[in-house]
Amino acid sequence: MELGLIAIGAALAIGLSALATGWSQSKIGAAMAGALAEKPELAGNAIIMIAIPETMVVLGFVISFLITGLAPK
Amino acid sequence: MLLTMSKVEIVGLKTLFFQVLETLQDLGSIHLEDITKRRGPRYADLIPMEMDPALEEERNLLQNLAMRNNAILSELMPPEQKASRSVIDEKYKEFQGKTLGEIGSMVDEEESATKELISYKNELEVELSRLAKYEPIIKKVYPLASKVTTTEQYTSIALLIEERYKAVLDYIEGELERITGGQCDVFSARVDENTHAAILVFHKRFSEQVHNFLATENVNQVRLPSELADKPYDEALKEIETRYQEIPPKLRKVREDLEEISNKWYTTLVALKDYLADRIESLNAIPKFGQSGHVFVITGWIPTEKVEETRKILEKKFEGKVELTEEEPGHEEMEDAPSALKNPAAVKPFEFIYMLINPPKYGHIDPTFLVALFFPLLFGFMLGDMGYGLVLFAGAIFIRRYLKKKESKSLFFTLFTNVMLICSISTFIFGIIYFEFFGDLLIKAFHWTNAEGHLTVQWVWGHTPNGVWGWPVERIAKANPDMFKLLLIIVIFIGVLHMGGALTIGLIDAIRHKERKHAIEKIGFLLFILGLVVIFGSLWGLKGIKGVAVPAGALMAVGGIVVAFIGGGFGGGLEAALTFGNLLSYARLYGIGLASVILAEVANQLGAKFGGGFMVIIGILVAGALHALNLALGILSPSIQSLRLNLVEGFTKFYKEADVVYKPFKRSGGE
Repeated sequence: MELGLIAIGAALAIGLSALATGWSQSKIGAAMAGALAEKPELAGNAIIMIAIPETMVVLGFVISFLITGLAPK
Repeated sequence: MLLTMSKVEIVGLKTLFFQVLETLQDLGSIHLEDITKRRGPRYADLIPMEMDPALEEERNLLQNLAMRNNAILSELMPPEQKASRSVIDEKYKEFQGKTLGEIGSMVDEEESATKELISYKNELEVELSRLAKYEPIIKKVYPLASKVTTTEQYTSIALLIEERYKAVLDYIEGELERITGGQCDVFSARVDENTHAAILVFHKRFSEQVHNFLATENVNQVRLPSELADKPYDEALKEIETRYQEIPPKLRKVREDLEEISNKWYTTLVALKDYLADRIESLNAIPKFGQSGHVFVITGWIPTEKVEETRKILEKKFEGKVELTEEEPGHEEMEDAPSALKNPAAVKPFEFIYMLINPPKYGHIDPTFLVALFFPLLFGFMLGDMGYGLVLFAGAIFIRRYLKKKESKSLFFTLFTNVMLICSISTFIFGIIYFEFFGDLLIKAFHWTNAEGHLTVQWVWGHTPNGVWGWPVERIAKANPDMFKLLLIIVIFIGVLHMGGALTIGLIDAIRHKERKHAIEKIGFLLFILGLVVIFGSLWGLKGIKGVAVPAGALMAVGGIVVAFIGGGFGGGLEAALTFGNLLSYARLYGIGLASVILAEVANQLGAKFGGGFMVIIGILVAGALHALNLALGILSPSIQSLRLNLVEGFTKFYKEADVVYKPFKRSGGE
């Protein structure tokens, strides 16, 4: 039971944060694609902007890894 | 660092104006300023220089020549043996002694030599591509058409019908017999797996009715070029075939002729392109200058280290009739000072960051050294693998050589390749710290782990009793959860150093510019971070002083927010508190590194699953492909994340972008 809860917790940590990142990146990506069509010189900013929401999934991954560490050996 | 600039004013006799302009362009050190935007009594009597009709005509002529010259150049292929810059420069100098009339005659001569050849080549290429469209049809219909012989009264139409609809041919034949009263014939054959070709031969007087019938039936007719449409099919196809074979040798000959011209003239035309571009640029600059009755005035910025040299050259060349004076710019004028970077070779590649944002504003601190220090550190911390480091190093060297061979002028690629070269070294060093070589390849190959998953090998320091401080550092730390905590502490510590460095630059900048409020705000931020360090330092490390350190740290952190509030208002206080989030965001260093090493281990495990014998090769290929993917992600992701940490967590704390970037008035030099 405990192992199952740990697994669900870890899955939620990575899964939800990945969904959130994907959703934000889709919004930012679409907006930046529009902006780049008008101003190609914004390419550098576009990469940074798109990278910003990655924090969520990266931290989600770290937390998920932390949770799996709680699993009994 | 940013180059120190001097504001200069060059005054000279108007008769020498164009010679001075040419000299300044040759020296290539002055960033011109628009004198007409200058205000104040000093500039009140100056009249802005204008383009008189003669100069306007000269510029038009130059633009016309440049356009024609560029058109010729665009049609010529560069010779295989590229001319060196010195050869082009020599040709450039030859143009300096020529009149526009002479240059015009040369362009005329070139144009007449190439124009006909180019238009003939274009015609041939167009015809070849047009005929190429008929080639598949010719191949299908020609064998059939060659069997058909028509007389003058008869004409023919070719059809292509899909195999599954071939029954329609009987219907067409019946209708054709009905329309022509039997004065027709139909030849058909299967030409490939899916197609039937048919040629309908009939008397010319039924031509309209037959065409109308085929149009209403929506049958796929083979249409020939309009000039051949009236000819019988066999003749038309034969002619197309003949022309299709005749064109390539003709085209080859024209290309050879053009190549010969290119070998002879290309370098001269490139030099002319540069020369004309420079002349146009210098004429375009004229409205920026001022004049009075007999003198001209040019103002601009020159790097201080080059002022003396420029002054001496002008003095020597114009025998004192042109004077360069250094001015003391006012506070307002300093706002227009251009920024120019000058960094040591090891730091220079990191200037690539200024392709994403403008360089720092003049008078502020150039943070390239901070990027040069932290970018490889953050990158190496994430990717950290000896094998990947070696591959990256070899790749960067290869690309560098390739770019050099191709004489690439892409500044971004040149700088970024050098950055990757430096990052490959940090990746290798962190690889040694983690003891990773393509993930756990070495550990797996030599069975260096015990049943619990610990490394069994003894290194310089070995493992300490609590298993935390030993080396190699086990990144995944399956059997050692303390290692996870340790690495998180390290990344937060890197964050403290990085953000602390950025804030210190901001503080120094604010003090230098006497911006009291900004300075107080930065002190608040630093105090807040210091408070956090004291709190977490005592919780994680110096547990003995926890009782005193935690309240003291909390006091410092709250004090930091209050100080930041005093300096930067509500926004400042809020930003100070949010700094905690910024610090936590450095945990990405560990997260991305973890993802990379797990993928590397998956690659090794998957490769090992293929077993022995011949399957070993497939296993190596699979593992290699996964490692290649991991390395590609491992370059992309740490680069972007390092950039983000530098730009978002670092630069936002102090950075001021330049409004004016140093653009010296110089010869184009092939740019």
